[in-house]
Amino acid sequence: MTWEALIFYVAAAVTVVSAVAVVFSRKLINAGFALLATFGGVATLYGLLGASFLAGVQVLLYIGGVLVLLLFAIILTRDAEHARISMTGTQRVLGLVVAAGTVVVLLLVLSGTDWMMRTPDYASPGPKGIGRLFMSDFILPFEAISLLLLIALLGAAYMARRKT
Amino acid sequence: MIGLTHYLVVSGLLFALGLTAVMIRKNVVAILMGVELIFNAAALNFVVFSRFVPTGAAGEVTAIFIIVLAVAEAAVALAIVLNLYKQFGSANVDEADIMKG
Repeated sequence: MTWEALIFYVAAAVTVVSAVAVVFSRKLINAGFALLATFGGVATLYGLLGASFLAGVQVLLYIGGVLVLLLFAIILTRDAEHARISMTGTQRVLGLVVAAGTVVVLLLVLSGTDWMMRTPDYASPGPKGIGRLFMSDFILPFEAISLLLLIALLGAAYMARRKT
Repeated sequence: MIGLTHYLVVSGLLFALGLTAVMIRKNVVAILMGVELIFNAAALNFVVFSRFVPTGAAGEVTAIFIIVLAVAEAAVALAIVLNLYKQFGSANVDEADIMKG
């Protein structure tokens, strides 16, 4: 087994196992910390794919931003009664059935499709190439998402401080 | 050799787990974690296709857009969760069942 395969299997196992922990752990704070391992595993997969810039963005924004926000939300909304998560029986079974069906359909599509493959010596554009794409081909989505970020930040600040 | 399908299996499992969390969890924060798992699966898919299928580098750019959207969503969702908790005294979606709180 090559190093690439070894790192892939370890990262994939960490990602999937910790995602299972996120979904099924009884205590919410444990789910939050399992999410850390999931994000780290996905960042490792980005690195393996040659997208090192995206791996850095994943660590900075997901682990440094989203995860901290979620942990804040857990801590600020915790009380003795609801710290543990209750799940009803029938809904749980139905949810698991739908999720299993999704996996089966995805795997069937995956094995039945003949993918167009690219030459193996492809190199990621890197931060420089991505920046050039933002300023040329993707200038409209780039401006739109900057506007959306502004609106989201203002809206979040407004809602969080509103007096009821 | 690790190929396209290996990565797609991982992202498919990640997506299904996120879907499960959205469907069976009752706590708002746990549902948001499921949504984040789905975002991660989608972004991983874009990067994988950008690497293995001839599409130019558009996949990586789209993955950055997805990550930015996830962060904006988390910020707004935190504000909504705090208001919900203040209004209903719990972060359980089943109890938030009246409009115009």
